[in-house]
Amino acid sequence: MTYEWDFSIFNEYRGLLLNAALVTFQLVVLSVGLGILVGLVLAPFRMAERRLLRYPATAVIEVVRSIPPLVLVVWCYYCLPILTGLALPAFWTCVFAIALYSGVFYAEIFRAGVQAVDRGLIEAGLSVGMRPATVMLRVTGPLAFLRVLPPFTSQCVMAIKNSVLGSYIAVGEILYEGQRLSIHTFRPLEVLTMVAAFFVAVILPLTLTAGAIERHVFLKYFRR
Amino acid sequence: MSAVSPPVSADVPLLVVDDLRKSFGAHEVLKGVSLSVKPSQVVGLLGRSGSGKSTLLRCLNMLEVPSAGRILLEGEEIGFETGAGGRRRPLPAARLARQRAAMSMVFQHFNLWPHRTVLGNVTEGPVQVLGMSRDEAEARGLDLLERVGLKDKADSYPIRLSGGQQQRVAIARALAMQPKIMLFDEPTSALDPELVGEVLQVMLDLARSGTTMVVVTHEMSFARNACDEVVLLEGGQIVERGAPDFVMSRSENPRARQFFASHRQENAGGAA
Ligand SMILES: Nc1ncnc2c1ncn2[C@@H]1O[C@H](COP(=O)(O)OP(=O)(O)OP(=O)(O)O)[C@@H](O)[C@H]1O
Ligand SMILES: [Mg+2]
Repeated sequence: MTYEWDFSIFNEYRGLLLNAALVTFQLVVLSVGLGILVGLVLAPFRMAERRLLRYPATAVIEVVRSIPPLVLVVWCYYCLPILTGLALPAFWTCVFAIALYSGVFYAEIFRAGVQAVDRGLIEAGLSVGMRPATVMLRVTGPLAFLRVLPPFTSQCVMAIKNSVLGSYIAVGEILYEGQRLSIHTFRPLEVLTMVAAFFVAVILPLTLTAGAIERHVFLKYFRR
Repeated sequence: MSAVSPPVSADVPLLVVDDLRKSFGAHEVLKGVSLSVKPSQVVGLLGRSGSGKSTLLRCLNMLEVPSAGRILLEGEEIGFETGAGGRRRPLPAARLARQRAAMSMVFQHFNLWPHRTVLGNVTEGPVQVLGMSRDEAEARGLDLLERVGLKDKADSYPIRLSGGQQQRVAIARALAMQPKIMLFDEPTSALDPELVGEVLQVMLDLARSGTTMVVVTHEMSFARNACDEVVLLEGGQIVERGAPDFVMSRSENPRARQFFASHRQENAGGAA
């Protein structure tokens, strides 16, 4: 059996698709940006010596990361308004849910990075008279980040792909609009192919750039 | 107590360590160490592995918090303050940081920051801690690098340098803070034998130019030639102290004799 591919629908509906791509783009930028912020805020608490600070952060991380992301997005959409009386638009619900979900992973990545920094480099900072916060900003932070660049990149890729979860709560991003189009045109295979190609086109340049930076950093700072 | 700080003279000690104790859990590593270092004096700390030399040095810089005893730099207690009610409490981070800046440490494993250039390593402290302008810090940094013979490496990253070069940069980094006293923890122990000389030479120059230094070392020739006083540590206590020649050759103390005898043997063995 042969299937007659017909990609001409995309030309016909390019306005709609461009719009959907733009929504996906906004969703990605906001949720990744916020997710990193969540990670940066959670990680220090997770590493705190005081239990009063550490335990709540650990609880948030462990609970959130064990929830399937789809469930988290849909749950936030239906349950948060009931629990908080605050009804956010679907777009923002999606941004916050994905940011929270990826944020707990970022937190764990940052923690692993900080803990991998050679204690001696931190002590060198302290012994020239840096305050602990300065050491974190000038020594531990940058070195931790360089060390975790590969898992950090992977997590960004995950967060970008998770933006399609918005389609379950009717956020007009690329998968949602694509699915509507496929119902309308009876062309689901073309639509799925297009969505897949879209993500490859977005993610591949990012991962290639990250890979190049990684190699550069490694050669410059860490390899004899 | 007088409000005016006493004049710094050669007889007034710069650093005083008074009955310092440190325990890790139930294991007491320093069992009451007292020491005083005068300005421009070079004190060598010798002792077997595990005798507590590093712990003592790290306590001076508050990288380890002493369990008891006091450390005074120019009369100011390091790491603690005594409140109005006579209660002793740890200093806030900012003040502790300022005190640490006055005692720069050179580590066995150099600990240069890999993500900063050689010059960046040297200017980091002055810029971040002393608030010096970058231009001034770089000018002074280049002078210091020249002093340790590494001006041409200013823009290299530490990983491109040999161990001996890295340790000389670490010394320049410590000097850049214009510390009152320099602490060295076995600065040549991690080096290939052929690189030890260049680092010891820099340290010898420092000692001769009047830098106050406390040096943990296994280099007996350095202890003999550069130190004004050597202190022998054993089991967390000072068992002998005095002029290098006295402690290393003439002391009647059996533990000192045994320690230096085994070292001479080692050296003879190494040469054969
Ligand atoms: N952070 C720590 N926790 C527990 N024990 C420690 C710690 N640091 C040092 N010790 C113990 O304290 C003792 C003294 O250690 P220290 O490093 O001061 O010896 P050292 O004289 O510098 O030896 P070396 O010549 O091998 O460097 C050792 O028994 C060591 O195991
Ligand atoms: Mg040691």
